[in-house]
Amino acid sequence: MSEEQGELERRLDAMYGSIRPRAAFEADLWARLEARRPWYRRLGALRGPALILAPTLAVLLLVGGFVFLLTGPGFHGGAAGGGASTASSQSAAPAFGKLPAPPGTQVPLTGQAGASSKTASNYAGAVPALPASALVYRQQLTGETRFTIAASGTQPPASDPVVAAKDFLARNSALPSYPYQITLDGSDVVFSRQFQVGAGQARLVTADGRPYGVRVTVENGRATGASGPVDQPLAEAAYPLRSAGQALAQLPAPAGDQRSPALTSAEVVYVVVPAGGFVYYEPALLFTGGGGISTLQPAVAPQFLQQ
Amino acid sequence: MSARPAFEDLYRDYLTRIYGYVYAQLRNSAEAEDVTAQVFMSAYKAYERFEVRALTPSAWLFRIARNAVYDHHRRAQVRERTEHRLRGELPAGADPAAVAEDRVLFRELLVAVRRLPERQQEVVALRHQSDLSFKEIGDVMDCSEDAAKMLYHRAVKALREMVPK
Repeated sequence: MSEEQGELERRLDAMYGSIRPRAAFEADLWARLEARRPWYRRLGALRGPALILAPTLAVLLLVGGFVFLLTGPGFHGGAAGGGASTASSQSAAPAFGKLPAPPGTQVPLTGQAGASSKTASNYAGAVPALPASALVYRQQLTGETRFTIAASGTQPPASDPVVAAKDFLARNSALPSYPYQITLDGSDVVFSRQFQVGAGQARLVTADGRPYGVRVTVENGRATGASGPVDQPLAEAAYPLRSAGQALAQLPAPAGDQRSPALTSAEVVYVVVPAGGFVYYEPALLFTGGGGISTLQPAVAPQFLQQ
Repeated sequence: MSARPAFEDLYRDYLTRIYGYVYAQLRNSAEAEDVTAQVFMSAYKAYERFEVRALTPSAWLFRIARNAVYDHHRRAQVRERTEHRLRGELPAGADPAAVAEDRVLFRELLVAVRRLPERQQEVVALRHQSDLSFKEIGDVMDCSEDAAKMLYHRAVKALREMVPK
């Protein structure tokens, strides 16, 4: 094999090696595969140390059950074990711990998530389904997590602001490599990152419901500048979600006057939550209505949110 | 008989490579994800019946991937013809992820690979995206080991002529 061919093959290896799915794809697809397995096959996936420990665990469970029978309220009629069961029912928080709630939203106290009867909202529309869990993403905030580009030189005007914005980003090697949704926000064209939630895609918004992402300002068909988050890998952790019905139940009741505008549509989104030196992207429900009103409800189960 | 690896291990070891192979054929990240998902769903269903004697696990997976890509092409052609008839529109624009990928280091090489005949593109992708031997590539592509080698060397020769040194 000639050196020239060796070099070409090395470049081919590097080129094919650079093709990778998005970061969350592996976990998403595995979750779909797991969902198809019967429960005993999921347990069968435990291997190595888990199998060695299994007989020991079985013995411990038997002994524990026997001790519980002897000391528990059912045997003696006492109340000695009550406190322990309350403590053990608290779920451990996933990898990022309790998450900061999106600004301006209220986190219901644990146990109140379904209390809906007295908070009849002014929402009259379909509610999208939420899956049992979704990924939350996190990125450390540093001086290098945002970029700004100012236009230099003259560019030919484009009749479509989206075309002008895309062209500007491509010329500056700043077109996002992740899936995105394009939104027009005033004179800005916003490229909002999209994340998978269940079978659908959810775009990134700020806590007030505006699109968040790479923002290109276009005036008279010419891009004058762009700014946005740097395209970097995100850490991720799966969090349990509450149901859309529970989120709807927590919508604030309409103001005293019955003329307050009604919310008419709901969308699953990801909301940007900066806190403690990090920026979190958390799933949420965005309710919107006429006159540009909107209100956001966290989708993460309340026990995993900071009060 | 060789031991069959756990499906979890196969998934972990081959997900990126199968995705890369599928992406190289489809050039669209969303479609590549859909087809990759189909590959692993089919593989998961069939894994209990899979025997290592006939094919290695990686050759088996790439064979499923190849069939899934063909099915996808067939469905896409039918859909595209129907949509064109109904709307008289051009096909959708370029995939954003593909555009981003194209602008990086390998643009010239990617363009050159895409100019190769379909089977040559496929053999190059299999050779550089999988760890398959030419014998296994032949099994996946329904040809002999020698034919797979020949096809690959022709592809590389063509690429050397297309890509500037």
